[in-house]
Amino acid sequence: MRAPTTRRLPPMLVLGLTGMWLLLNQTLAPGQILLGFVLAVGLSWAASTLRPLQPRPRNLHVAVGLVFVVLRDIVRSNIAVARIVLGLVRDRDVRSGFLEIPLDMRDPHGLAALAAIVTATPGTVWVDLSPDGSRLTLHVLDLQDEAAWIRLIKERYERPLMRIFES
Amino acid sequence: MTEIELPLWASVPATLLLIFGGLLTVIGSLGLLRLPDFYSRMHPPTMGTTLGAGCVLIASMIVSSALMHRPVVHELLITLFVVMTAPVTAMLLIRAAIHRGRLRNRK
Amino acid sequence: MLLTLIVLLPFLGSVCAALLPANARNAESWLSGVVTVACMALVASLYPQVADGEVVRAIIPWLPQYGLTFYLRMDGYAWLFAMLVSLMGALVVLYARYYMSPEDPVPRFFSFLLAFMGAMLGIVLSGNLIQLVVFWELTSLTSFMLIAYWYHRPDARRGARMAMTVTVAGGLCLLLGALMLGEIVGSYDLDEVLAAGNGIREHPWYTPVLVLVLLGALTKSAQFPFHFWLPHAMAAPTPVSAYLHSAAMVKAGVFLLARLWPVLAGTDEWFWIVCSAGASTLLLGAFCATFQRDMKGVLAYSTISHLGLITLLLGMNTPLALVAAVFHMMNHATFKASLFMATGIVDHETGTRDLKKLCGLRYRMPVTATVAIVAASAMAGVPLLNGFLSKEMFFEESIIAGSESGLRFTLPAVATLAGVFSVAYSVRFIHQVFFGPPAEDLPRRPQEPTRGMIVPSALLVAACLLVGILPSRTVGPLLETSMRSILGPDLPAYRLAVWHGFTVPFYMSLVALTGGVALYVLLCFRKKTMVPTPLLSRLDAKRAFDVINVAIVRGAGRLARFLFSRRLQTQLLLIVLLALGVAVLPFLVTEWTRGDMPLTPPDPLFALLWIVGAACAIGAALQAKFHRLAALIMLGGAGLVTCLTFAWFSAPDLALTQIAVEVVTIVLFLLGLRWLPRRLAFDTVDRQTLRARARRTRDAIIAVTSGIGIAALSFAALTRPRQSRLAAFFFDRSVEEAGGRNVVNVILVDFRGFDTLGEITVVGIVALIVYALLRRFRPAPESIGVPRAQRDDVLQGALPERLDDPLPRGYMKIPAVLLALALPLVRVCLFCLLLPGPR
Repeated sequence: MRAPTTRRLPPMLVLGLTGMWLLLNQTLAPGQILLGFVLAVGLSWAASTLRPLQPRPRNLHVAVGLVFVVLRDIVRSNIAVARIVLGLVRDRDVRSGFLEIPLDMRDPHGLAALAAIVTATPGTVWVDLSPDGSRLTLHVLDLQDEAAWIRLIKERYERPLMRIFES
Repeated sequence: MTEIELPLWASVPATLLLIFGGLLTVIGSLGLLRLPDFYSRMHPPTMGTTLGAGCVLIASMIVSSALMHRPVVHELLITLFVVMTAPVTAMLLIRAAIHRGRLRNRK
Repeated sequence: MLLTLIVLLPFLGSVCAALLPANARNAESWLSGVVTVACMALVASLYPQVADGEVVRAIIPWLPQYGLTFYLRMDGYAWLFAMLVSLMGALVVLYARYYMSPEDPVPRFFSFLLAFMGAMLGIVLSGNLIQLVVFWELTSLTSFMLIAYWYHRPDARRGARMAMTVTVAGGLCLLLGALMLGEIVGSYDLDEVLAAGNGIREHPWYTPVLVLVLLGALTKSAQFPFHFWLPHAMAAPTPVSAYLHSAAMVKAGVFLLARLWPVLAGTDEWFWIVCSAGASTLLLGAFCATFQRDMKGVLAYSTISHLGLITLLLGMNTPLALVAAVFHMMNHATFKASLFMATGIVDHETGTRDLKKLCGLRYRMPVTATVAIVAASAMAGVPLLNGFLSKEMFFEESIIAGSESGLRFTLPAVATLAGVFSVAYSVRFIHQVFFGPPAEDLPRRPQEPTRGMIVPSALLVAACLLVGILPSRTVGPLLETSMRSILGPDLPAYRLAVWHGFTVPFYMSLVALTGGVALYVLLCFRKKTMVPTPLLSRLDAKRAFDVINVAIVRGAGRLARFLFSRRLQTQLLLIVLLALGVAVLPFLVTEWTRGDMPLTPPDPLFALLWIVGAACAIGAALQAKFHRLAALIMLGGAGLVTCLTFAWFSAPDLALTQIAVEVVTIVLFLLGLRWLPRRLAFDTVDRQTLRARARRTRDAIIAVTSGIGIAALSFAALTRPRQSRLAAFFFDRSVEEAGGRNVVNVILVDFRGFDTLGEITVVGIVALIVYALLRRFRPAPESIGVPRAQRDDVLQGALPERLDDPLPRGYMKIPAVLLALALPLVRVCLFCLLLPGPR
């Protein structure tokens, strides 16, 4: 990978790093704010060669909604997998299998967010992404209805992510 | 361990969350034993790392806030780090499993 | 204040010079020129104070409790030398500007040249013995870098290594001598050392101190038997030779001898050791110089010979000899530097320095020829030049000292013989290069050099003439100031005049001049001017040096192989056995009892934790040979249990450290596993032989015994009450005196701060080395290939193919995105851990 010759300073990263510094030191003193800001600028500038593409998030209200949806899904899928492991699901046969989902989203940061969501919910694991980015392979623990799963992933996660990262 | 006085509004939720988180982690580990193949076994441990860790962290935040008499929220950063790095680990493990499967198929 | 500026300015200039771009010859020369001229001006401005006999001092306290102060001290003698060093520096900078070719990377050159000048000024102006040794070693270091300037040439590398080995070894001896001297006197301050002369001479440690200091000085000044590095140092560029190896660095040794003359001289040991070293070097150098083929070789051996002359004078134990020595130091610097510059001009213009090829250059380069002839005449001791004056004094002193010590005829004879050879090689030098028919087959067509190259030489030659004709007006007062500062009121009367009458020294000079010319004519007659040095060319010092080096290395290797083993398993076995042996010793002294401290009740959860840990460790041991990945994972498990133990006992920073170390170790092991060959299909028959089983049993017994033994030892130690009061000491002082609440951190940073400083230094050095190694990193060819697991991905096109793809395609895209985002976050956490320190 050839490094890009220009270095950019992403504002969101700088803000995020400053906030992280303040959070870690558990303080809101102005001296620390300044120190954190200087540190954040320096580190973002230093790391900018590794991140040639910057995310451009929009529609942050969608993100807030998505966070809540994901939290609810995490709790529900945890309970579902716990029931499967404990053997409490007797009325059907639990089969696990691979799932191929055609993707519309191409933005790498959106895909990264999708990967984080998929991994955070037990019951789905990200397996592979095709080289041209059009097909996503997942492994699902409780694969009953392929089409339902595909619909779920696309509607509940991909659509809001596309609204955040690609619009 | 010295005796620490925790108010009731902190100790009860913290205890419940800790028990719940611990249980989830144990069930997750149990899944490693019980499920048949590698790909299925990838799922239960993520229970421990997501909701299990989340419960423990929330309990820790509650207890620390009660002890320090001010909100202590910097442990949320742990969640952020786990969320960012868990997919990488999971993806690479799955790749290794697929690679091994392909090797076995070729033999 | 001015003194510190004099020493500091060249170092600052050196740093600036290093930062300039590679081909900025003009900028570099201007910078260096300004620095050197500024130093000269500063030194000159201090003359009025020094001429009154006052000693200018500059003291900067650093750690007064340990007696560490930065102490600069300038008296007349130091003034003279500082003036010499800075003046020579200025002239050499001017010369180097025109000598260095446009392809040479000049920043490195001028940077080290200025650093050398700063170090030399540091030696000269130092008021503290240990400080002097520090600057001494700095000159060795910068000399090494300058000799190896053209590091693509093997002779330069060898010469630099040889010079460094010899001078640094001498520096080590000097350090020991300085330490002993400081012990005798009670302080390292030069003032106190100089005042304690008698006490030192009568001390029982006098001889070792003398030998050590002499080793340091004689290695630096290239005296016999340590003279062999100087001719090989001629692989340096000529400005370096003109500055370091004639005027400055090699003079440091004799400078030190003259500086410590009031302290160490006056005894018989001094006389015999120093005089014999000086006399042998004098003759040896002069003899070899007569037969060298390289112009710089002639000058190198001539330098060795003249330094031998100075050393001989210093060894003579009389104040007048000291005066003569210092006078000759100055004179030698002027004419030798000028000759080196002339050599460099010839080399630059004709492309060769070979005396066999060069001929008749005075037709094409008349000005250079004139300058060189005058300088060579000064070297030979022709009247009306400064060399003649100091040679006369030398002859006179040799007569006086000879008659006092029972060498009535030997010493003057040695002096005259050396004079004969010196004239011979000077005449040979000039005659071969500049006289005769013009040469035809030179690499370049010679012509007069640019003015900038010839001006420094000409200035020095003019100084030779001036001093030679009017000594008492020009150099007289300066010499007197410097001598008064060393000898104090005991300065004997002497007269610096051109004509002393028809005295014995005059006849000796006459004999030397005529004899030298006659010798050269004889050699020309017998056609023996270009033969290799008779008798001595068989002794190749460089070869001897290399042989000794190789012998030491091979001997060490043989010893290591005899005492130890190359196989990792045997090494580990020996280490564990040794540890076991050492650990048994306490049990032989006391019996194993439990001790009196009460045991805490066992915690079942903690015990469970450690059962898991023990199982991991045993599993790792069982799997280590054939199932390496599993063993590694279980090793990680054992480490994790240790980390949890630390957290259990409220030591979060220890737990953090443990987990960091654990992660790094596992990653490194995995990288190692990647390059190990895959598991071999092992032969079950081999595994079950009696020998193999016996060995495994032996290893198991040793391992289990060691483990149980260490556990028992720890148990016995932990159950005894604590004896030391250190813990109470640290606890009490930590909050008030050091201001920190975390006692362990306070110990690391405050009470034992030097340890931490040392560790940080080591880590810094390692980081620098890693950076230097990685700059030119080329991985081994067998490891560049795509690993097996990635080959399928390559087939599928999951690795980035085009170079301008910012991210990998396929499944590695997401990890790349996530980890690139994680990096700044990790760094913020790192800073958060680093910055606040002990909280």
